[in-house]
Amino acid sequence: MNTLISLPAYSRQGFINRDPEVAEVRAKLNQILEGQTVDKRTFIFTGQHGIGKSWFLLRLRQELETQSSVMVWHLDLANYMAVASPAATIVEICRTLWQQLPIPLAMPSDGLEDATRTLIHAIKQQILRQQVLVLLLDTVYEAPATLLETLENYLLAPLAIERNVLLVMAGRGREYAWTAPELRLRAEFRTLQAFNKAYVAEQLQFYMPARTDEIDEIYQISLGNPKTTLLVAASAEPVHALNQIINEMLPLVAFEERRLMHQHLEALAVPRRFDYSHVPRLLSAYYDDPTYLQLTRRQIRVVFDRLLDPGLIYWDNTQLAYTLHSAMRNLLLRHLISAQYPVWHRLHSACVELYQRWVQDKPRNWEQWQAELEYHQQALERSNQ
Amino acid sequence: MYNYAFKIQSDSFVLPLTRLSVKSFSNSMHSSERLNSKLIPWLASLGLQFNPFDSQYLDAGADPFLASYLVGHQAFLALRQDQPSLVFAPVGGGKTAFRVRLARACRVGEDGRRVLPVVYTMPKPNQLLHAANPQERQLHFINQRLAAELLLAIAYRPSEYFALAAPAQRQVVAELQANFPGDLELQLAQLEHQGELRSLIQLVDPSADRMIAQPAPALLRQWCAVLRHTLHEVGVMVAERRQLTVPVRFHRLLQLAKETLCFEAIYLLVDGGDAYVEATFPQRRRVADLLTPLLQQTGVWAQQQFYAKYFLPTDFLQSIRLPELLAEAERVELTLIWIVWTKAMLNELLQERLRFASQGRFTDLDAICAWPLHGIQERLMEVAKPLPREVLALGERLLLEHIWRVAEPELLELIDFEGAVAWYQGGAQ
Repeated sequence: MNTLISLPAYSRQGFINRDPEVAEVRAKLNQILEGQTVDKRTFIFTGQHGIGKSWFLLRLRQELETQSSVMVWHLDLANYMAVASPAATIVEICRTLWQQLPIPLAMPSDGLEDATRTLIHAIKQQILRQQVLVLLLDTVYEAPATLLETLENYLLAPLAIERNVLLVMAGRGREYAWTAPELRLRAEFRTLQAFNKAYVAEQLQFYMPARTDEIDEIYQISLGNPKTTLLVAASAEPVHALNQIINEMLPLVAFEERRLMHQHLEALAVPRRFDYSHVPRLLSAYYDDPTYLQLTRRQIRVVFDRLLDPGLIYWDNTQLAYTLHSAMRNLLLRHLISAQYPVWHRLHSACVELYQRWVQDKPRNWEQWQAELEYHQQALERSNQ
Repeated sequence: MYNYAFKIQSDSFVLPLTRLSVKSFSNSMHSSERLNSKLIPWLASLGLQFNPFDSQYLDAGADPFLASYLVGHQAFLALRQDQPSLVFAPVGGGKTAFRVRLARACRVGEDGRRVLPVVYTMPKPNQLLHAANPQERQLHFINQRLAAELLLAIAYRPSEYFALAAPAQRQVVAELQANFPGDLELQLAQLEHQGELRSLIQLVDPSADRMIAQPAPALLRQWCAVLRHTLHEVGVMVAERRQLTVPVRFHRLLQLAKETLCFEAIYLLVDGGDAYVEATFPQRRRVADLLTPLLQQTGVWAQQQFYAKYFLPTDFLQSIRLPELLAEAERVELTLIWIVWTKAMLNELLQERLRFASQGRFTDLDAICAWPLHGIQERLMEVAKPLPREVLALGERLLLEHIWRVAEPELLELIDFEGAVAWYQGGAQ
């Protein structure tokens, strides 16, 4: 697959927005530096693909490491995914961190418990007596749950309990259910939001000044997702490049797996929210194949997990349903209506049939289904005009 | 006129002190094995790795996963102070969960603090009935808990024990041997054989099973071997200590904890009062006999950095005549905490259990319900009394109604909810 553009590397000058988030982390750090016992010393930043999580951590690093009273360590778990076992991975991480100690001694052993305990002890003795340690950890939710469980138990939670440690993590994908209350109950969970139009304009001005006149069209497609904005701006005719842009946003997995991801995403992009009840009907409409109506729960769960794990869909607790991130959904809908209109039409029609059945007997909360029904009916009406 | 400063913490308004019934959540229709052979695979097909409402863990103290879905952080912050505290909630209202959380925070050294928790579950109503000196007998039990907790604390951080000078090590071993509830050498042999803390945790506090960063097996074994060797050297010292009175042994243990092992505070976490709520009237009256001497000592203990924190059912307010009891004690600042469960907190409780059970896939029962049942969590909370135990029992019944009704379980349906509600409301009569 030919990539549209080489996405730019991080630079301080090219970093847009995120001032409130930087300020919040900075404020927490200042409280710790003042000797206060701060209740929540962990930040966990999430957000859709391309929202700028990794760049945000780089920005934080630049912002914080200039202070002599602060030691900043920055780790990307993506660099450790190939290691054989969780225990070996943590030991490898310890080796990396060990080399960043002010007085790097020889690591005592390769055992998980010894390596982590000795590292924590060295951190307390060499750093925390006089400085605050800020640990920036990227690609957190993309890591396997088994690795996160061991990392939490042996490194993150023991660091989280220390008064002079600030943890800042970033990741996307299925949210790992942290088990240690000293981490979970004492963390600030934040979601990085898409840029508004003003920030998109700033972004274009810096990276693609020739396209600043097309901000409205670009924003309509990207909805402020920074990566999508650059991909759209890099395309001579974005409407025709939607499929390619979508592929750029998907994780790098085997071809067949990727193809299924893409197709299932297209099917699930049409409703504003969905759960188990929607999937058979949507896939049946997408593939125009009634056998999908017989999908078992396990098969539906496989569909969900394929998309949940890389963060392409997520459980939305305000809607009490699964949904896609806005930028990806927008791309998929635009692509469907422009390049696969019959599929788009079948999917909306399937949703209309589904919700008509649901509102028929006016069950409790039937108004929410009525609103969804009207949404799909109006979409079909608009397309007929 | 009472010499107390009450600091009242609550997440919401205070509920009227009505007597809430303790439900009997017996599902005796089917054996638990048969249940699980159908329930667990069905839940797994929906993305749940275990039953998030498992009734075998309605006693929070026995739930090994409790720490993974604790909520109620604001009340906890008030509890985690160097002050005696009284924590009140109805039976099934989350007291033990707070106790578990506090004990864990102490054990792992949260915020760099060095606090020893001592979990003291009050004797069952029929114990101490014929004891000659129930007050001293109770202090004897506290001594045993203190010794057991000290052993766990040292086992969790063996390097700190190795850092002690030899005389201090012998002192530690002698005091533990003189007060340990059981055979210390056998316990150490078990730890050495297993290379992990599990057997000791089961003895001390099962809810501590998932403590972070436990020591390496080799280090633990080395520590066990050293302690067992030292045991053979301190026989005379142990014999001397066993001759001492119970109160003197108590003070020696405090001294050991604070001066030798450098704990800055010790929290006595008094739990187990719920067992008395449904006891016979004579047994309920014993509660005052049990709590009075502890409450009378609370002020004196606080001056020695030994802070008693009582987790009591609201029913006890009538039984123990609290203001009168407190008036007899020394001047002390005491924190009074009411655990009041709002709908938002109960919803958060369900969300955290579902998040953990689903490994982050979803946080609401709507994810596993057919569409007519959407909004199910809100409905559960409309029906159930506003207590965790009640909501969880109703939630489990919802799951059971479905698997009993349907040969091939699918998504939860309205009829399952109606069946669960009928069961719940039938039991409330």
